[in-house]
Amino acid sequence: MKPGMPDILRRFAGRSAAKTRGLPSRPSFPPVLLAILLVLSGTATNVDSARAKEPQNTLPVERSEEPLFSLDSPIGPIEYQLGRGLRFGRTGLNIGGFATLEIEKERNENSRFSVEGINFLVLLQPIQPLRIFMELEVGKLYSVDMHTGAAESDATLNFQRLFGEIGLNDAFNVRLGKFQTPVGRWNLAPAEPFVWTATDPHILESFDEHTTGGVVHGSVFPSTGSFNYWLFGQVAAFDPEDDEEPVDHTAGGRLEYSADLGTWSVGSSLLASQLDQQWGYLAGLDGQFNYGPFELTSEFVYLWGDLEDPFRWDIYIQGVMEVLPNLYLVGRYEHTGGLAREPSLNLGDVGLTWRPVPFLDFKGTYRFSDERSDDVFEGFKASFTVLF
Amino acid sequence: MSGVRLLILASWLLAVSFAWPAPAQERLAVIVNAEREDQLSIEEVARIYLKQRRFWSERESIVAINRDADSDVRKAFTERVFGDEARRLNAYWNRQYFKGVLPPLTLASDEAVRRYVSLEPNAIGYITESWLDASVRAVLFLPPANPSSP
Repeated sequence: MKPGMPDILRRFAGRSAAKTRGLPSRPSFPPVLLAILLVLSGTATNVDSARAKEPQNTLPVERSEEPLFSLDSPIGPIEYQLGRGLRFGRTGLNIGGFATLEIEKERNENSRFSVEGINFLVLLQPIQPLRIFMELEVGKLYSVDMHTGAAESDATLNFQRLFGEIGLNDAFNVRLGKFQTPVGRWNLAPAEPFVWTATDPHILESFDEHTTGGVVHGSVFPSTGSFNYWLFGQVAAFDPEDDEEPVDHTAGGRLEYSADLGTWSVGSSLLASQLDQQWGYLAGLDGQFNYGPFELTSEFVYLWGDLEDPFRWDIYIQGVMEVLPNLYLVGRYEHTGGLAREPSLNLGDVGLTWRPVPFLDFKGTYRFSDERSDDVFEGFKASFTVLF
Repeated sequence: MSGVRLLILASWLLAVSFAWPAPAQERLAVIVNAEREDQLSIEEVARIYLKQRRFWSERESIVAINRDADSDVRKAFTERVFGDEARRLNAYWNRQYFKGVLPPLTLASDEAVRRYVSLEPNAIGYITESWLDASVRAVLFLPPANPSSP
């Protein structure tokens, strides 16, 4: 039966009852139709009787959006939804993640296929204001040279993120543990399924992807927009293998304004980092603008201090256009310059992204570069990601 | 199927379609527990359903309830609250999933939403206006999608 049909039947029942009580009703129904209505109203009465037998003083059981399967249990429904994970009833536990396959053909190198990794996202929210979140990555599972057939596997296991958070209200939340460094825009959700290109912008090398320490963050909502802030600091690198040379200590902050549910937003970030008794500083600006099928994103960072003697800067601008339903054309230009980065670096990325359904992502990106070195990737990279 | 039966079926379908407006043509009521005193704008409702706003003014956590994804009521609500931004909701929830935030859970009927909200003090939901009664309080009415509809 079509969803909502019982509602219709219920209304039929109400109309019929009004008729039998002699109350005014629409006079235009033909007798045959009235007979049908009476039969249906009998059915509807049965539906209502069945509803009346349901316990009216207990909460109806909530469900996931579109579960692939659902199993009733004493802890509530255990449901799995593609792209949203496995939910364990009312325990607040949800386990999901994403997996990524990659093919890359670097300039003057053989093509490689790799099972890049499986990332598990585990959320535990036993009571509403408290949540514990973990991203566990099983990385570098398998890689093969597609010309020579030489394969290698060097599986690693690391906690990309692990934190506990408690919210007192919308404006004040405290998070402790290891989390994405809240600097810039890309780094807030930098993983493969959530970005538009298979290649990453060079700007991400300006700071550590993760911070281990504490962050206070929140939102206030003036008029139709929202101000979001983050203040954070690092006391120790929880997983030093994750970043090549993680800094010892950091302190930073980010302020962001989003207008009209994110139609456009601007942000600024500040970061001070200490490594081996030397300090480096970062100031950044970023913005995003959405209009119909278009999205424009840009980030700029300026770095100075002992770690970037005397200074360096990096900027990228990226445009995305939905050219066909779920098919996106992406272009990005990036420039890195400054006295600490001689000669300057120019990168251009063009590609296509196809998201046939929300939990699948295919990307192909070609990167141009004006620098030939091992530090800079130039060539083609494709990825396939599934959210599970 | 005989001609008479076809005529009866057609008459019934015609009567249903004329006599009772589809959700897209009926006002939607955004409802909270009857004991709540909050007033909400459409922007605040949008933020709640995006889980950007997560607390009531007295610091209680908001429990937002959606209708099931395929329901007409859900489609009408999404269209009226998010407008053109609805096209970006899938990408938005994917990013939130990465951050450990899941979309609101769902219930399968207006009756279930009304009952849930009447029993859960911190809940918010939405139903077609004809399902409204004294067990819940409407904080916002969303007009029909097409103003020329009856």
